[in-house]
Amino acid sequence: MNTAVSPVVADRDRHDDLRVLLLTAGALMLTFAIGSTVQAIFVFRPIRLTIGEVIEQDPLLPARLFAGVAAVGFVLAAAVLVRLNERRPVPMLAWVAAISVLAGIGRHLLQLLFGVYPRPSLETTTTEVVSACAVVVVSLLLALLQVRTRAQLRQHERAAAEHRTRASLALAELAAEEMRVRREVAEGLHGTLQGRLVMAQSSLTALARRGREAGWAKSDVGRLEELRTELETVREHDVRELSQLLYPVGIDIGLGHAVRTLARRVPADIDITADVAPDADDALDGSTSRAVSARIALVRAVEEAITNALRHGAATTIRVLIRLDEATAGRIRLTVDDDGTGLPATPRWNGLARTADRLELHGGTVALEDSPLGGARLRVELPARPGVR
Amino acid sequence: MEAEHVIRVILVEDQALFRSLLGDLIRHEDGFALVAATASVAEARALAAVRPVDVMLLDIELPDGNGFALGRSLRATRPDLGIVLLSGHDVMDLLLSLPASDRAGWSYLSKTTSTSRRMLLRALQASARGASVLDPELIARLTPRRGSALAALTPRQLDALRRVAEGLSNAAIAREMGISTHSVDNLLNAVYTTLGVRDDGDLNSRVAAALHLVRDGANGPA
Repeated sequence: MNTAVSPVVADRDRHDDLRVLLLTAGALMLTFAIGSTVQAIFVFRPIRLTIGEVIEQDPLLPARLFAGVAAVGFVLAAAVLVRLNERRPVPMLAWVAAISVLAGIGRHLLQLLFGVYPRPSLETTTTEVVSACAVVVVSLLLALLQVRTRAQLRQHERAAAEHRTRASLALAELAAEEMRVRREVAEGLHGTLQGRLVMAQSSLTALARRGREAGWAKSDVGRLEELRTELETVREHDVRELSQLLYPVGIDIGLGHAVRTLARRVPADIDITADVAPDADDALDGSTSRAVSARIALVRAVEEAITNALRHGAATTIRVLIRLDEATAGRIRLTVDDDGTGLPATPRWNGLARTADRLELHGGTVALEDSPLGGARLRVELPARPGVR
Repeated sequence: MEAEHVIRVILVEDQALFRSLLGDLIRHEDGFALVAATASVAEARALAAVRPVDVMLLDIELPDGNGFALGRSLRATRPDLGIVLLSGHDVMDLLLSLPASDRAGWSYLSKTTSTSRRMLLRALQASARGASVLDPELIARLTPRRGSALAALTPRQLDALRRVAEGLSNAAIAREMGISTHSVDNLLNAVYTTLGVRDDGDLNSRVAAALHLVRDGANGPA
């Protein structure tokens, strides 16, 4: 699970580890040093002491404290020098042992130098050295454990972050690929298939004319004409709808154009207006797959709302409004209002569920509400820059 | 309607057969000159930069881009350049995305309707002088949308507006409708008032009125 990190980051990690090591070990050892200084007075003078007598010991207190602090300083300096936290386990333990022994002996020598113990017994010496050693070993091990735990946590976090990045990159790639395929298929339908249908239509027209001139049966010529009309319907209607479904007309030009084109296709007896603010149009401009995909999702939402208003709501008036809302950090707000029968008891738009999924991929939200026009309102909010979350 | 000087045209069309047909048509017509014919946006852009040209005849769907976008970017530096758009699908509403300051001189013809030679030449002429011609068959299909200003026009006013959109002059409209030019003026004034178009006696009001027809007209019968 070792994630590769840049030299700069590795350097920063090392500094961070060292800081944690020094702070933890330093704090622990200083606590012991101060504690032992005060405690020593009680341990080695078994008689109950009054405050006055403690103060009488005063000349020796700074000396004891100094010996302890100096030892702490030595341990920390040594830890830095040998890069204790970067060592492998066995050398690390060896260094811990060496440092602790040196610190314990050094501290006792200082104590002797300052005359803390005028004539210490072997037992006293052993106790002083061994206890200091133990304190250093325990402090260093605890500090190293702390460093290690933190490093593991850091690695976990990095791995998770990398995983997230990879997932989002994969998603973006998938979206780009989807757009590419959609576009290609739509272009194929638009260009090649339409072209072939046009040619077939004109052949049929020519054939019908020849038939009429050659005096074919009227019903046969009529059938040819019918075929031609049927092809025309397939071409103008079915193929176009399919292509529109894959890649809405005008989506490359912009959101406003695509939405207005959509509104123009609605039958003339429906009072529909589509109002797209230019700044909203600009905000979703661009040919990145994310921008195109966000535009498609919005156009699809409008299409879905219009279809439902007409099919289920029996609406006669529809208002499409797209704005860029600066108050909410530049979110696109789309509303489609209608004057139809309104929301059913349980609003369930099958097509909308898919559209909502797509919009949510772009960080958007979708809601169905009552409209001020009396019917239903579809409300969509979408971050203006889908790439930036 | 005789052109005073030769109208120079650059043709951009990716279908080879259609390109040569259109090219021949323009080349053999008096008062027109084919400066160049190409299939790509990039080449057209380069040609327009160095060759003298009055009108660009642009297919919309091109292999390396979009004729409409090409037209817009060329117009940014040359506001008087005429643009005639050609397309296999009805994308006339592209014209609606033009800003008000850049609407003059754009014409639109469909490849699938029976656009005639006469219509094409008329569109080239109109765009060259800053007027516009919209495909008559597409215009005829448009039905005023309920609730729009367009729906408030009388049938005769709508008829006159359709002819304006086709690029006819008031005199020509009068001839076709069998009324006096004065009556046409009155009809169109009423149209402008209803649509809220300012009549500045300029081509702009005609173009603006025609775009109302595109915006508030739905395809097919009501």
